[in-house]
Amino acid sequence: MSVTSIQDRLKIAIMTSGETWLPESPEAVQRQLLDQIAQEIGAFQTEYKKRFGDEPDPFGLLATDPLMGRAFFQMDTLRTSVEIKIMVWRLLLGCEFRRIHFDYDSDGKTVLTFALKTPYGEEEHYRGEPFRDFGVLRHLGMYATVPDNQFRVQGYYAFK
Amino acid sequence: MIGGTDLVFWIRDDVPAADVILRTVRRKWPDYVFQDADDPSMPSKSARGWLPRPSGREFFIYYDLAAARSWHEDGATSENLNTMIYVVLGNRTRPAANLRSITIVCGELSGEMRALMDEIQMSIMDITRSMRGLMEKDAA
Repeated sequence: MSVTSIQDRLKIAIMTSGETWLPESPEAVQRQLLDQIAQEIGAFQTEYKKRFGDEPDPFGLLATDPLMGRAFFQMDTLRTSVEIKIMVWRLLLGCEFRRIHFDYDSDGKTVLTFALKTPYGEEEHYRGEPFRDFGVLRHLGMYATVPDNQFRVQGYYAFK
Repeated sequence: MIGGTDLVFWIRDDVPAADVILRTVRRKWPDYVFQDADDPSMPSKSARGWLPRPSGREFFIYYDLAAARSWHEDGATSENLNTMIYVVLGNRTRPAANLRSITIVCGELSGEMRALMDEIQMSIMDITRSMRGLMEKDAA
């Protein structure tokens, strides 16, 4: 696939996900941004395949399940590190959160870590990089269980 | 129709209701069995593993494989009534308000089934509230 067609496909996916500001940006800025995002998605696919054996297809997900696919193409997700993109993909497949630690220290180090539980009971660990990865916190589903009214974090969604 | 209780509620058309419903049911029914409504075959295994993606708007979720078999072989009985839910997503819409319906058909709305239905509604409402909050923040 040519560079242009990848960029076109990506642009449509980003706009479909609700990021309507993109076409209003200058052409040169759009091209640079789309090129960077395309490279980062490629790096995510490569690393994911190395770890888990199969190659994720975010464009395919957007086509078959747009409400879930949109979550991947929102900027909060696209700007994340490879590590956190992998975590998002695992959540979209069906992992659940087991623990989330967010330690903010105005005079020191800020840390964001996640422990996921796979449907097979294994635990996976992910560490976010300051700033670029913290936007994912906006996309977590949160609710209270019934009847015990326990706070739970569940799923990863397109909130726009 | 399977009889029982029809619950109908309205949600924003961009809420991923199938994902929310499947995750919530999976937590309560870990050995659940999933079946697309247009798939006439007898489900052969538990859906344990990655979340299924419904191929259409209608699907069944059974408590476990024994429940799926019972529904297939005997239909609704007094014993299996509360071991299956039938979900219909968006068969009705209110386009002006960007809303679509969710219909969940279940057995008797009491005990564990009542808790399951309440939790599904609660989780969808909470996610909708989160989405609305962020939209309002973006618009500000």
